[in-house]
Order: sequence, then C-alpha cells, then structure tokens
Amino acid sequence: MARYITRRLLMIPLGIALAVTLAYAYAYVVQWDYASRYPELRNRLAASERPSSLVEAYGTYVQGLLRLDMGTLRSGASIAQTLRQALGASLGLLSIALLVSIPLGLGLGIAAARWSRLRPAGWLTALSTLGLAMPSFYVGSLLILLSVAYAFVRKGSGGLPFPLTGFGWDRHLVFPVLALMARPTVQTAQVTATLLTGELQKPYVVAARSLGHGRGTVKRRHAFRNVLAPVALTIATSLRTLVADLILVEWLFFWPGIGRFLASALIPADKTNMASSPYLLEPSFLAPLLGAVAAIFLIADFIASVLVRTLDPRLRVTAKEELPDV
Amino acid sequence: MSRGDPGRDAATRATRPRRVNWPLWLGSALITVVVFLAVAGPSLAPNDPREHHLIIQVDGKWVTPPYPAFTPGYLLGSDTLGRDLFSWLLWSVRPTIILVVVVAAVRMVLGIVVGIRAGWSDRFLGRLCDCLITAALSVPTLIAALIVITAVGFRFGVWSFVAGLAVTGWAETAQLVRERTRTVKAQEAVEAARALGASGAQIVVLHILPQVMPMIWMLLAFEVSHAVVTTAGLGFLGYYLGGPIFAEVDDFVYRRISEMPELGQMLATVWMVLDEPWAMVAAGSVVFLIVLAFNLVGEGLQARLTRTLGGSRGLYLRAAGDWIPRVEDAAGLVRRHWGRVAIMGLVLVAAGVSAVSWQARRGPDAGVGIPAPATGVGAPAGADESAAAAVGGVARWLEVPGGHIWANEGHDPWRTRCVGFSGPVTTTVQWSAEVDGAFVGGPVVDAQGVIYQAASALAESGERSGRLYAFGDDGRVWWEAALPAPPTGTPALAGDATIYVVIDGGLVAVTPDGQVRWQFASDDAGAAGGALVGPSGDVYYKSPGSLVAVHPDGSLGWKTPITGTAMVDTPRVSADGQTVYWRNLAFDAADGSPTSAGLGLAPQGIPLVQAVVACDGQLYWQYDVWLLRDVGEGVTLEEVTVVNWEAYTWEGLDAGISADGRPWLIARPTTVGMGRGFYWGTAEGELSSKLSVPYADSGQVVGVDAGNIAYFCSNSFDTAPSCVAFGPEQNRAIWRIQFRRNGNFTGAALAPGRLYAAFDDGTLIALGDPL
Repeated sequence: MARYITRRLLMIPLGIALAVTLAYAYAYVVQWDYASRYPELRNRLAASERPSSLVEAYGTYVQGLLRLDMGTLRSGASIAQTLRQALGASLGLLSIALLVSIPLGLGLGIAAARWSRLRPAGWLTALSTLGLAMPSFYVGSLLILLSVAYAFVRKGSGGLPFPLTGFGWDRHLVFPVLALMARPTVQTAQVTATLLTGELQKPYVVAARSLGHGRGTVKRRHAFRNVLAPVALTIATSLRTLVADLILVEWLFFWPGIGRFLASALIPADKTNMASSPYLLEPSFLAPLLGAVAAIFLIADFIASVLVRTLDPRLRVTAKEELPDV
Repeated sequence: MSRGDPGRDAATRATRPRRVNWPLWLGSALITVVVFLAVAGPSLAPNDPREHHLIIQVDGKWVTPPYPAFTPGYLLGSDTLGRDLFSWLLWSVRPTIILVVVVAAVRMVLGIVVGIRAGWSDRFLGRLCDCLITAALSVPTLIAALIVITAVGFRFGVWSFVAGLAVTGWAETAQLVRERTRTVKAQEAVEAARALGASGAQIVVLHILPQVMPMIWMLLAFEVSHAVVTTAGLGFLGYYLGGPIFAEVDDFVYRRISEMPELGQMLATVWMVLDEPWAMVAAGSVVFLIVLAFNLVGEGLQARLTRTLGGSRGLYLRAAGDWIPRVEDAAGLVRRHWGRVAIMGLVLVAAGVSAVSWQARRGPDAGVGIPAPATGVGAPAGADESAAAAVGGVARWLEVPGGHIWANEGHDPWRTRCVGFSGPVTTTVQWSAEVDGAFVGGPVVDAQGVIYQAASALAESGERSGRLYAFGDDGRVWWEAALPAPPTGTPALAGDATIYVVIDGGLVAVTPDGQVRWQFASDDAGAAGGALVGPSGDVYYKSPGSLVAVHPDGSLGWKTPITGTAMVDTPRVSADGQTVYWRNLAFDAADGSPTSAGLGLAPQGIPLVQAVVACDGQLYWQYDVWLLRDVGEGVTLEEVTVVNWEAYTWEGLDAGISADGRPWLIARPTTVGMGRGFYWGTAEGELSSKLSVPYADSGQVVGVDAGNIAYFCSNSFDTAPSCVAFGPEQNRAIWRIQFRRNGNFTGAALAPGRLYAAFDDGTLIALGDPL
C-alpha cells in the first residue's frame, strides 16, 4: 500500500509538468496564428520581445517558475496572484458543491434502494433521468428565471432573493452551487441505488436479516459499506464532468474562478460579448491554468484510488496492485 | 421451449408479466418529435427568425422588445431585438441535430475501432489504445473541444466542430467496446475458432463485431445526447456555427448577436441579459428535451440488451432471438397484403419527395444542411447566367480582363458596378481584419479571391507612409508591401494580376506576390483618386491637376490638364476602349485629347454629371437625375427617368444601368445636403422602387449583382457607417447593417456571397455568406 501511494504521489507532479509543457507549447504556437486576426493579441505580441524559438521561450518560463516567478500580464497583474485567487474561488465552489452533492446523493440512493426488486425505486430513476439531461447552464438559467419570477411576484420589493452574479462566500454561492451540484447528485444517487439494490439481494444480507438485524441497519451498516468503493470511483469519474460544468457555471454567474479564466484564455473576445481578454492564448497564463486543472484531476484520482483501496480490502491484496480505470 | 428463447422456462415466461420498456417508448416518441421539428420546423415557423421587430403595436399601445410570451405573433415571446423565439427555435433544431448526429457517428466509429483494438490485443498496439482511452477519458470533452476549436479556428467550417467534439468524446464508447471485446474474447466459441485456424481479423469480424453491433444504437443514442450537451456548452461560451453581427441594442451599447438560427448560437447571445432569462430558458429547454429523448432511448436499449440472459448463445443471438419472431410476423403480414403495403409505400415516398422539394423551393434559407462558417476556397469570378436568367431579362456583362472578381473601384474598366454573381444574402460578419493604419479607398479582389487593400500609416517620425495588404478570403494577411508614399484611392487590377496603386505623387505597380515592380512619379502631389486599367493595359488616374495615362511598363502615356475642379474620382473607359471619361469630360484614349462627347445632349441649365457605361457597354449620360442613352453623335435619344416630381428638389449624384437594362440613381436632397435617396427604374424608364437612407453622407453604390440587388454603403452624420441591400421590387431594404466602428467607411467590393467593406480605422470586414 505504501509503495502504491508513493508511486501515485510521484505521478502527480509529472502529470502536472506534462500538462504545463503541452499547454505552453499549444498557446505559443496558436497565438501567432491568431495575431494576424486579433488586434489585442497582435498589440501584446508586438510589445513583447519575441523569443527565437519555442524551446527558448519555454526555457525562460521554466527558469522563472523555479524562481517562483510566473510573470506578469501587460496590465501589471501578477499571474501567480491571479491564479491563486482564481484557484481558491474554484476549489471553494467545487468543494462546497461536492460536500452538498455527495451526502445528498448517497442519502437519495440509500432511500431508493429496494429490497425485493431488481431495480431501484422508480422515482429515483425518473429523477436521475431528468437530472442527467439537464446541462448545468440550463439549471442555472432555471434558477435565474425562478429568481426573476419571484421578484416579479413580489413586485420588486426586497429585490432578488439571491444575487445573480458576482463573487462572495455568502449568498453569492447559492446559485452556482445549486447549478453545479445537480448532475453529480443524481448520478451518485442512481449509482448508489443500483449497486445497493443489487447488494441487498445477496445471501449475506438475507442471513443478516434472519439474525434479527433491522432493515435500516443492514442497508446502511452492511450492504452500503460494500458498495462504497465503486461509488467513490463514480464520484471521482463525475469530477471530470464537474470541471467542465465549472467553466459554464462560472461563465454564467461571473464567478472569477479558473473555469472563467480558462474560457477567457481560449475564446477570443469577438466570440463573446465580453471585453477583449488580456489572457487570450497567453502561454505563461494558460500553462499554469491547465496545470491547475490537471492537478485537480490527478489529486482527485489519487484520493479516490486510496479511498477505494481503504474501503475494499480485497483490492489491497491484489498482486499487481492495479485498479480499474477512474 | 418458446421459439427463439431456448434458455428460459416456458412456464415462467408465461406467468411473468411482460414489462413495458417505458424509457424506449417515451424516448422514441420524443425523438420522433425532434426529427419532425428538424425536418419541418422551418416550414412551421410563423416568422423569419432573423427579422428584428423593434416596435409593435399591442392592444393599441406601442411596445418594445423583449415581448413577453403569448404576445400576438410571438408565442414564446422575443429576445431584446424583437426576434421571434418560437420561430428561432423551430429553425435551430435542424442544424443542431445534423451536427450532433455527424459528431456522434464519428465518435462511434473511432470508439469501436479503438475499443476493439484495445480489447483484442495485449501487445504494444493494444496497450497503446488502452493508454489512449485512459488519456482521453481523463480530459473533459468540453475543455478538449475548446482547445481544438481555438487552435483550428473556423477555417474548416463544421469539420472544426466535428474535430473538437470528437477528439476525446469517443473514449466512453471505446471503453464499453473494449470491455465487451474482452468478454467475447474469453468465450469458448472464440477459442474454438482459433483452434480451427481462424485469423485474428476473421475472429473480430465473425465473432466480436456481431456481439458489439447490437450495442450500436444504444451507444449512438448516448453519443448524440453527449454531443448535444457539449455543443450547447460550446455555444453558450461563444463557439457555434455561423457568424455574428454586432447590433445596437441601446445608446452606445452594442451586442454580438447571431443571425443564423442554431441552438448553440441562441445560447451564446441570449444569456447576457440575466434579468430577462426567458430566451435562455427556452433554448435550454429544447436542449434538455433533445438530451432527454436520446438518453431515454439509450437507457431503453441498454435495458433490453442487458436483460438477464441464459445459455451460451451470446448476446447478439439472444437479442436477435427476441426480434426474430417479430420480423417473421412482419414478413408474413407484408406477403399477405403486399398490394396495400406497396400503395402505402408509394404514398410515403411521394409525400417525402414533395416535402423536400417544397422546402427547397422556399428559397436558400430553407435548404437542408448546416450553415458552415468560412472555409479557405474562393469562387470563380465568372458570370452566373442562371442568376441572370432568374431576373427575367437578357443580361449581358462585359468581360473583365484577367477574370477578376472586383478589378477596381467600379468593378471593371468601365466602372459598370455590374457583377454576374449574387451578393451577400445575409449580414453575417464572416471576419474582420485590422491593421495599423488607415485604409484608403476600397478593396479589390482578384480571380483567386485574394483581396488587396491600400492603407496609409503614420510613422513615429511623423512621416506618412503607404502599405498595400493582401488578404486571404478568410481574413488572414498574406503579405504587406511598403509603398513609396501614401495611397490616394482604390487599387486597380490588370489582366496579368499586377496591382496598380495611385500614391501621393504618382503611381506604383506591385506584383501579385507583393514586390514593387516600378514607380511612376508625377510632379503634382496631393489627393488624386483611384486607378483604372483599361482594356489595352494602360493605367488611367486623376492627379490633382491632370488626367494621366501610364503604360504597363511604367512610362508616361499622356497627361492632360484638368483645371477648375478639385473633385476626386476614378476615370472609366468606353466599351471599345477608345475614350476615357472622367466625370463629365471625355478624352481620346490614344493621346488624351479632349472630345466633346456628351455635351449639348440635354436642355441648357441641367448639369451634366458624368458618363455612365451600362453592364452591356452601352453609353449613357447622367444629367442631374436623368439618364440619356447615347446612340450616336448628335442624336439625343430616350430619356430614362427614374425620378418624378422629386427631381426638382433632389440632386443626382451617381447612376447606373443593370445587366437587364434597369436604371438606378443615387440622389441627395438639395435643401438639406445630408441623406440619400436610392431609386430603381424599369427598363421602360418608369420608377420601380425608392429607398431613403437618412443622414447618409459620402456614400457609394458598391455594385449591383445578378439579381438586381444594389449594395449601397455610406457614412453618416450622426450614427455609424452602414450598408443596405436594395432591390427594385419593393420600397424597403432587403437588409441593413450598421458598423459600430470608430472609423469612416472608405470603400467596398463585392464577391460571390460577400461584401468586403474597408474603414479608415484600418478595419476590413467581410460581410455575408460563408464560402
């Protein structure tokens, strides 16, 4: 187990380094292609000295990283500080969304697991089908519509119940968290209910019931523990969708997280209704941004792998110590 | 044992109630609705989704958009520009569905190929495919799509989207197929086949594929739903098919809006107004229903396939066993009632063909397909005879030397402004390119679609310089050439593709690859105008005090003084090339000696404005608001009047004759000085239609296309530069667009489906249809 953990831990910085390198190379190559068509990019490049090659530019950048200097944008803003704030905003949003969606999903899944049937309760199937069909921005738009309707009914007195845009660790969190947590909640609930329903048909459950244990006790204490490992894998898998949804939710609600910055760094201003972005295809900005996204995945994958092995003793004694793909 | 069901006890089967596959039925019903909307949606739309209705009357009151739901004529309301949401949604389903089905099919193929390879082989290639699947699964599809589409751009049209959406989206299919392949690989039948000497390829084709194929429809359904979600997400962020225009929505506020209905476009442009979320909810609801439909079908098919199976007949045969009795029953039904079935089939085919042909006849916007963004291929410059025939007259065009699409300011050496192709149908901004400096005059377009535009720039030393730019039809700068002095007008293209630019103090010849071939220096510096290359190859231009002719080798042909006027204009030549006209003056092309052509044709006191050459080469003389056809010396013939009583209060500025003999005229009110009136006449000289362009100033008729649509662009006294498209059939513009620029309009050129407009803030905008 220690060897496995060490090996996985070592892969994290390697993965981040690979993501940063690829992102830097991508931005460097693509930005010159864009320069002929986008004046803000052309002006930025004209104002800077162009290195003779990608290798030289990347070498300079790495030297800066080793000095803990990520550079600054033309506006003078420190890239490191900007990224730090953005990462904090996004991780906070993600964490709160997960903290709410996981228990809620598990609870719904446990409630929907049935004893004498092969499938979970129909209400959860319907709920999860509807929930999985709703993109996060659609959930966000429904919340906004409800909010506007509420204000309309109250004839504007008291304003909107929750702010529609902006950043703050207060009521500003409500709509982004709700939009973000909808799909992972129903996904977790569906997987939990399906696995638990299957688990409840097994002979040891029948034996536990025959020994006088209550239904709730058997469900929660015996059967549920045996499905925790695959449920943890599902949650880790859903993180990918969550990060993609993070971009859309931050864009919709103007939440200044890495998702919003990523979109600003990849989408030219004339494709949006925003002002031109100083981050557009900036290699020294895009590289750590995608590195941060890769770090989220790698760390989440690592935590899920360790958790699965902790929860499922059978996996600890596997000779090759290989896990199913997350 | 039940037929087709050997693994199950018949008694058990008889007593167990048959479970209805609700997800499959419900999903199929929803998909039927979606497909119906995709096919018939545009026909059902009550309004043109691109039409802006900025004010309407409801119950006697004038209201402005956004109109609420259930407003008369607006079932779902409108957006902030008054565009009918219901019509927009009906139009937008088709291109979205086509795109996602293509994406899903590409993902499926990739996923099956990679998945089978990964599941079958344990060697290097198999492990490589395993790694690819793991890597692709670890990258969110939306982020991968953003990265790919940003890198590729829209140069490949819809295929940019397909590439972006399919670059990692195949991984989930590959994962499922890989697991299925490994399961089948372990079966005894496969082991037996190996023992009998079957090759790997044979086993894959005969054993693995048949057991993977039943999953196809389920996988396709899920892939389509995933593609819809990702496409909607991309659209929400700003990447969608088609292009935008910028529309003024408030004082000094403009917003990027879409003009080609598509769900992603709708989401991209309606979400900004957060306190009016209804449009976003409407579009999102359609996305939700489409995703739900395909998810339900996928789940239903998955439930059917993963029903508890016994026996060793394999998944394919087991699944086929359920369908075989149904297929045989259906076959028997057809055999017994073959006549009725044949008649019903013929009726369905006839109905389908009628529907498709009715759709096609409704016009270009009703065609099936995805409106793709610009690609890199240009169009030939030749006349479109079919477009001319549709006009109803016998249309003739003079052939432009070199076959150039737009050879100078007036299109050709005769400045007819007549083109044999159709101009832009939409006002979609395909691209805009910016350079440092100010564009002077308008662009020219050669036979290959390369756009040349001259610009002047101010160096740090304060000295003005000149540059000539070459743009591709996708807006990319191919090259820029330094000119010895600032340019003074639109360049001109010769038959050999040499580009001539009139500069301050002379003329420059530039090769098609940006090299200055020679410079002709004259002794009078100052504003001059654009150049014109005659059929003989000589270049004519107006310097501040003379009309100058220069040979193709850079030597002076002749130089004739023109005094008493500081007007800047480009010359034109007669159809036979013997005479050079500048405004109301005529000169012999051989030696520059003045002639008296055109004088005295009209009653005294009416000013002679200019010589006008029609598309077929016929010479006319514009006298104020009248056109007189010149059919020989000393003979006044056939007044062509397009202006009636307004002639006494309007001053004619410019005129022309279309390919089928219809006259057009631009005039301005003599009392006010600003604003323009555009008049179309019939070939018999009667007024056909009239359009007012208030506040217009210093505008020009860019050209008239094969459908008799005239394109007029102008600056304005108090608003932004604008262009209008106007035809002879009705008294309103076909379209009108305002450019939110800081600079003034300086010139434009037409190309097939395109209008290129230049501005003195260094911007060149390509307007119109994708190539």
